Amino acid sequence: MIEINNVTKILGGREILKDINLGVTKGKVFGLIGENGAGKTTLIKCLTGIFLPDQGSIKILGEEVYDNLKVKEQIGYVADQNKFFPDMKIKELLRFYQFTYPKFSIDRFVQINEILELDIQKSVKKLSKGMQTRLSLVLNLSIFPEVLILDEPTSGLDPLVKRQITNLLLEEVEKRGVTIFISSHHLSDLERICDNIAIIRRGKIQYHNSLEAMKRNVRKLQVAFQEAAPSNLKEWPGVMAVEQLGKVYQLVIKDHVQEFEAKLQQYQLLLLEEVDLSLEDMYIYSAGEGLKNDKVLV
Amino acid sequence: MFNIDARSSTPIYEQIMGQIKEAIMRGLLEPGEKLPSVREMSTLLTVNPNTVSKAYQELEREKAIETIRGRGTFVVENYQPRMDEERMQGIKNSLRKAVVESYYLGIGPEELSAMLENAFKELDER
Repeated sequence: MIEINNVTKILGGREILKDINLGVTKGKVFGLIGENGAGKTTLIKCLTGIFLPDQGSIKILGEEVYDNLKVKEQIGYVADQNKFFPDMKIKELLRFYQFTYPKFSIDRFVQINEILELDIQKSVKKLSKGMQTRLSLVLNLSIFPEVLILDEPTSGLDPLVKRQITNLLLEEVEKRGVTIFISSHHLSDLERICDNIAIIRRGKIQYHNSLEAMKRNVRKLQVAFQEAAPSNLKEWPGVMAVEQLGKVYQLVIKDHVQEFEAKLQQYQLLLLEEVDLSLEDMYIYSAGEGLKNDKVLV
Repeated sequence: MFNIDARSSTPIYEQIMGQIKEAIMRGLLEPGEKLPSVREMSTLLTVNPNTVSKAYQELEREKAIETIRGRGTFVVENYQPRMDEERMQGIKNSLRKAVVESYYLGIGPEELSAMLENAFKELDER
């Protein structure tokens, strides 16, 4: 449904995106995470046809997106900052959407707005940032998109509305097989809803996998040895990060968990247990902030 | 009834599977009872419908539930729980934790065994 092939984008003489390759199949939810300035929004602007990549191609529904109205009509896009015509009232904006998107349905708008409760008599400039995000979400769900591209959609929303919106999105996936591409800092939200995850860092995709495989292949163990710990612990199979607190070692292990545990059995252990490793942990290890070893997910 | 911990290392579909099986064993879901649809479950838990589908498919493969076209998904009439390597390990781990805690509270093996037996009895009585 979404094909990103070898995309490079240069802005202001700097390479913001470097040779990005990603694909999302129909009906899947894809999560993009990365620090501020990693290139998330730039990639999303390429996806929505706002930017033309300097190299490579972006195809949605099998066609190039840039300057392609037919494809763009099928894309719902909620930006991180949603710019509307500020002096328009919401009800005037609805007319605009009716002209622009052939599939726009006012009934659908009314239906979703029952949850989000926007006053259509209000002018756009009087809406708070959270309200503008809500507005953008309702409008873009009302065009019955094939693809939904969401840039930090839940930032600035209260937990109740956030949950309702997430459920609305999931319902679209279940009922209509909508494909969703979502970027967010709220990693625990992504963790619940994504099929696949990619971590972008300094314009490059650093890790890309299904969440399930990610959870299966990367594990965190707590170990304490009766005697002194083996000095070459860091070089053991699959060890990606070691943190020590007194006797206890916290180890992040990738791909070789069984091999690693087998090797541990040769020692007298005071403690061996698995600790939950959330997406947030994985992200932090991969960003390498607290740890010198930052090759966890490479 | 169901509670998903997204931060856990256990994939969400496995959590859903485990909790449905547990609900069946504890009698919260009865043989022949209808399960929520994929959409309902996905909304209930706020998790991806694809994940719920996957859990249902796996449970069907394990013959814990069955889908009847046009009618929905049901708990099978005679569900036979199977020994599961991973869950076995889980039980061992939680027992070990209980033992360590008992040790520090000065509870001996006899006392702990008695507690275990009691717990089993309570289950049988239900």
